[in-house]
Amino acid sequence: MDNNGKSDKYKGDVHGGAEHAAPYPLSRLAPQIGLIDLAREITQADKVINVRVSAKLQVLVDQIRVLQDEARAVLNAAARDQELHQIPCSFEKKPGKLYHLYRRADASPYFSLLAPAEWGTQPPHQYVDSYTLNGDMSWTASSDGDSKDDTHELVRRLLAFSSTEI
Amino acid sequence: MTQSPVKNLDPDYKVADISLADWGRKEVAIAETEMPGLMALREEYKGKNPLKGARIAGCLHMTIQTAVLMETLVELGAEVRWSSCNIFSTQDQAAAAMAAAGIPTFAWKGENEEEFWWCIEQTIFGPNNWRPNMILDDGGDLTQIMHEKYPELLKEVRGLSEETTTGVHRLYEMMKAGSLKVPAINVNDSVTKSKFDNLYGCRESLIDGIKRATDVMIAGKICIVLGYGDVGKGCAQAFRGMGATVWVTEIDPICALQAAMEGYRVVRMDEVADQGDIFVTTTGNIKVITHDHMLKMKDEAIVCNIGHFDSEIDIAALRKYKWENIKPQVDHVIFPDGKKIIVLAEGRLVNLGCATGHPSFVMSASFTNQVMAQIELWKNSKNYKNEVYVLPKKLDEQVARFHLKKIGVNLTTLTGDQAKYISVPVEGPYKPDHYRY
Repeated sequence: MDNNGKSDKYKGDVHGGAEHAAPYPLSRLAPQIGLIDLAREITQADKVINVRVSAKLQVLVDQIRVLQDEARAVLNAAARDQELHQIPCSFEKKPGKLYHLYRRADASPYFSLLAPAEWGTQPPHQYVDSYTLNGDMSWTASSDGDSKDDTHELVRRLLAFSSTEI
Repeated sequence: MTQSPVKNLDPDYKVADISLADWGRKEVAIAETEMPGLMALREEYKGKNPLKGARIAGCLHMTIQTAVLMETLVELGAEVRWSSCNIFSTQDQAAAAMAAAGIPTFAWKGENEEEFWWCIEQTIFGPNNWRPNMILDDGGDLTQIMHEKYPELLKEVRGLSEETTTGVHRLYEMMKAGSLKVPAINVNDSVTKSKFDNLYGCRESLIDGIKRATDVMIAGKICIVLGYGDVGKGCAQAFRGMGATVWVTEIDPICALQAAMEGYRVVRMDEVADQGDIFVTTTGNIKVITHDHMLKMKDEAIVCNIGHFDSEIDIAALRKYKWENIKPQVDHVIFPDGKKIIVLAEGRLVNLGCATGHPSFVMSASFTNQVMAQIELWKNSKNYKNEVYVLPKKLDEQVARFHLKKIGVNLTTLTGDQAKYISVPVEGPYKPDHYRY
């Protein structure tokens, strides 16, 4: 301890000289250190963060949009599947089988086992489309072309294969 | 040759699901053990092919029992094409088994009206100009289409056999009008058909249909049987056997008296429509249960039909109300006041629509008559005019004889003296043709 009562401990850390020569501002009126630099730095950081966040958000937004579209598609498909299941049909519908939709003159639809070509001359009513019933009770329209679900056939073949193996 | 109005399919059949064939085959194998008449015919004619050259178009409920009939016809040398005579009566596994066995079969449970006629036409027009020269019918729809739409094809047809009361009724009307173009055998009125199939068959299959459709407790209910012919007698007995109170309606004083003698109350539908719990029509007539009757009925009353056609209950009049489908062939019809009645199989045959028809054993008796009729007409058509015949009593007795062993019946043989005393041959026939059994 020296004569000023200052502790040795703070020697070097604490400026002991005149206030005006202090390497850091001592007055509350003194300007902040590197104010401009700091401001620039912050702006820069803000920008970077904004860019990064907005990039991330963009991904999220995109994903939300895709999910929304998908949800809409799923709901539409579900509504259509439900509609198709409610169409009058007195035979038992089986997954993997193809059924043919016709519309009577009074606009009432019905499912038939007979394809348009099988009627002979021409179907008794207007042909609408043919649908395959999938394993999950959804429908695949024949007019959808490529999206035809062959899972059922594949599963059937795998099952047949495994049962012959055992 | 009549140009085929249909396009033949490849493969030559249409069933709901061919993968059911294995299951169907197993059921056919069981049915064979319960159909001794048909199996006896196969045995008797083994290697003789009495139906060789016969091309049979068949239109009869495509069930497991019918499958045994079809294969019997094929074993006897016939070529067969088949459809079902009712849009709800096909057992898909039976149809699949037949298709898989190479018999062109066009039937599935739940056809619509257009598909029904399409199926029948497929059995008339086969590939390579196949046309029928024999008809086996149930209800007369195939007979009707052949007579009205393709009469020129009937030149080739040697005869037809008809299974049921309704079809036979049509045949007699055609005969009276002079429009019947081929000899016909009325299989229905063989004693071993109508007194067995109609009576004992319905006695079992009516309850089967109602139970599978609704699981309703029959004991304690008021069951109303409309009509007390052979079918009505079986239905009334079945309900009584389950512990129900049975009422009967009749227009024929003889049948009405029979019902009364059996202890059934004979009533009028107008008076009891609001009291019955289960209604079954067996008349073969039209509008036996009317819209007004159904309007009066109790909430949750069950209405069904076991006659051949769907004309007995005025289903058309119910179409204006809300229908709530509970499961296939079971519907709630909801009246404006909120009352519901349960309609089974939309007024079509309840035993075939909601269950699987008659048991094999009783169908064996019916179908043995069918096969005998087909053989008789195929071989001896020249002996017949374009009229309606029944099988000779000797054959009727033979059908019964075929079925005795299976159920352990020990028949007594007349002694020579006894036969002489009642003036019948020892080996039959035992009763005069007018005997009513």
